Amino acid sequence: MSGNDQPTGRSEHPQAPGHPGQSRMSRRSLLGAAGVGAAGLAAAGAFGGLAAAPAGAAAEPAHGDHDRDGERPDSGDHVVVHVRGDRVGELDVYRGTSHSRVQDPDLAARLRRTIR
Amino acid sequence: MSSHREAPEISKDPVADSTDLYAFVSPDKPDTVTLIANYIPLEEPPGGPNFYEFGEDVQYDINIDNDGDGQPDITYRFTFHTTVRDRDTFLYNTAPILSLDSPSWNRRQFYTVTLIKSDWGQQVLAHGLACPPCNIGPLSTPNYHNLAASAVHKLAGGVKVFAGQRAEGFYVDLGAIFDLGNLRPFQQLHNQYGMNVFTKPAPGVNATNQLNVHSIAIQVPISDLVRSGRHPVIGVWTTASRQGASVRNADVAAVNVGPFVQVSRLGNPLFNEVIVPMGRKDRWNALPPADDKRFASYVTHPELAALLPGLYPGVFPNLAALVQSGKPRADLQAILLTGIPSGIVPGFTNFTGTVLADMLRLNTSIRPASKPNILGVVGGDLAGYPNGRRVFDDVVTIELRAIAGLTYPLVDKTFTPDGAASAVTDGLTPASVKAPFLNKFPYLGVAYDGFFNPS
Repeated sequence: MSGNDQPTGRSEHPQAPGHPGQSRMSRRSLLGAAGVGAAGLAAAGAFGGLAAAPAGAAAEPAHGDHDRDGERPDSGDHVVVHVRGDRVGELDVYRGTSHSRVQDPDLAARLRRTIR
Repeated sequence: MSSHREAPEISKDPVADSTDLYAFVSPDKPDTVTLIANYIPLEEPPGGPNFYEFGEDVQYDINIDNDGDGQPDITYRFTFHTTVRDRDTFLYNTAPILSLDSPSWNRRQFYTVTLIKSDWGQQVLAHGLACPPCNIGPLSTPNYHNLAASAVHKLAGGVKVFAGQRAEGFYVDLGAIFDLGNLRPFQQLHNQYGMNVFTKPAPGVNATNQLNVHSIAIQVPISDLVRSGRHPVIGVWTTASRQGASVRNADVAAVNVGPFVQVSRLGNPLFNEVIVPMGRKDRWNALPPADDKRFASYVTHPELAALLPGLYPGVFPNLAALVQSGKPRADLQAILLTGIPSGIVPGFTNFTGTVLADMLRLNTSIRPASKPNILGVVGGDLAGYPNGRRVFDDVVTIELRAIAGLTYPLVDKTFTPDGAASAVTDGLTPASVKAPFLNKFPYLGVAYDGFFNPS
């Protein structure tokens, strides 16, 4: 019925299993993130060398329109680290659409101390 | 309700809350199947200044299992993007909206449809598709019927899609059901906890009348969904997912990162609502149908079946005896978790195998009924629920009667259902829905406007 939207199709390869960049995560890079703040923190650009996660398909706004809030953050530049509450030093690291779990009791302890 | 606000966590997240799911052979195009997933429960039509819309941070999926393992073989994924023409006005529209590209429509949504096949990969079927506006009123959205119809998009391969506001088509006497199961047509028979408030029957009240939802609808050729002509049954469910980590700051929009995590699920109507107990509803929402074996005992020994004889003393003696016997409800397991094997209902099966999975199972080889019965298979209409679900099927009455024992003779011919099992109902029909259903895609009625509704 609608003729004003011309759909465009394209093929993509399936997302590979596993988490891009997982093997490149180091204690040093995590410490860089630790310097930013707290358990459950957003650290823009902390993992500059991390492979970008496959991005989801984005809808296209019409010409002249703004994004919803004007200054939407690019989530691909953010890293969120969640220090789990189990006290064994596990950290969940999120970036883009990826997630890795790292076990580093020393780092977990340092992160906890930053918010005391 | 079917699945509106059915679990504690998702009830606080309406844009990701699936409310109803429909799957049926299209009556006007019987070589296709129509799949509709509704989200955002109980939309009051006068919803300004910020009218209802899909979540940009939510992945909406309609999943199809065509090999009976309770895992998705085909997924249609819908993701949304919102644009604002003028950030310096508080208005949704500054003049009448006469078309989908009307310059006076300030806040619009567009979407992408992606096809994902488990054995092949994914393909963007279309992007930049326009949603219609919400139905605001006669000045803002004149001729809304045509405006909404213009948001039905034809894609390659005989596929149609629509995403946007529609009239709520699910009818239910919510106020009665959750007032301790006091069904108005039988309220005089309720034990009333000794209060004796009701002495005669009363008609049902449709709690969802004149409310809207947001629908995601897709019509696809049957051949796109089934594994082969020899396996015509598909299992369907919808899921909504959010990214695992979200950080909110005062000066910028929320940052969402991490893999998408499922927060909402819906297959059979009322499954999570009245079968799964409170303490496990949120967990159920996060799992695939393939994991439903862990919930099977709630199906085979449903809490509601045990409650009915107590709520209505002397009305369900045979059901009470069945519950007392401890026999598992194999009839309900077949209806909800495996599909009905052949040889149970003459000329019918929607069996998908032994994997216990809550899916809406549709035998696509059964033609649409020329004279549909809103009670579906229990009413002798094999094209209706639980063979998929049509927009007008009376799923509340069907499931009430099934749980009350009406379908138990399918697996135990020695059982005689109580007379009430074939009469129990919340007293509603499609006539209880003010906005008429359509006879063409997307079948759900045109959204109620906010000027005349509620009335």
